[in-house]
Amino acid sequence: MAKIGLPAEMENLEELLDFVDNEAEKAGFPARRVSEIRLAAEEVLVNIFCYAYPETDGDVSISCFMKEDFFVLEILDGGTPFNIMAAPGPDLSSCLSERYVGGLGIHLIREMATETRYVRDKGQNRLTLVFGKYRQE
Amino acid sequence: MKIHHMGQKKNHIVVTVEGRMDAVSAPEFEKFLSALIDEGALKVIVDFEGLDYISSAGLRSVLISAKKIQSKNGEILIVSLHDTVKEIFEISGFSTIIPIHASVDAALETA
Repeated sequence: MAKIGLPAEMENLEELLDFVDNEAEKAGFPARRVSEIRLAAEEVLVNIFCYAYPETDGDVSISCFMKEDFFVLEILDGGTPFNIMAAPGPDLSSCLSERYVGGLGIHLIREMATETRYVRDKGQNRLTLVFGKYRQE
Repeated sequence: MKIHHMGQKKNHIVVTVEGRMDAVSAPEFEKFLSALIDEGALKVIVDFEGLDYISSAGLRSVLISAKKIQSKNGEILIVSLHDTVKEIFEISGFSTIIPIHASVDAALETA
């Protein structure tokens, strides 16, 4: 299992995502799927950067491992309890002038990941994203 | 991410974007487009041929730019999406609200 931990700051986004990219590539996932995994990871991380630690600084850690044929990402933060997967998605039917874009990231995570799980564990948010080798449409 | 102003083609300003448009780089795109619109640009073609990744932050910047130009009765045309980027536009429903064309020339033909 490979793991990275860094302060939950936007300036660390690229390093964290490059780590995920690299691990997914090493696992033998096709380039397009690696890009989709990066996307899901970005959406989760940006949410943590923006909302997990409103008044303090804190860290985020990512673990990557293979379970059978699935690539698993575990993302942990010690911030405000929040289950991103329970938040509402966007209204995709609304027109451009009134479209609510806030839930778009969540929608993309749901579309990209094969399975998602959230638990609040020992004062931490633990989000598990599971990816099959190809996206299920 | 790199952004280039490629000049005008039939009254349309052509802008190319290369690399990744994520939460770090998207504000740069938004600023670039915002400056163009403030200078009076009403027809802008954004060529994404060199773009290989876009996240919700990138989509949001595209949307904000499109709204800004629409409020002045102008429009943004998106062209040359890679399959991976196209997939994100489709999944997010953006391909139904922002005109997408196969190439700069194809966009100019319909304009």
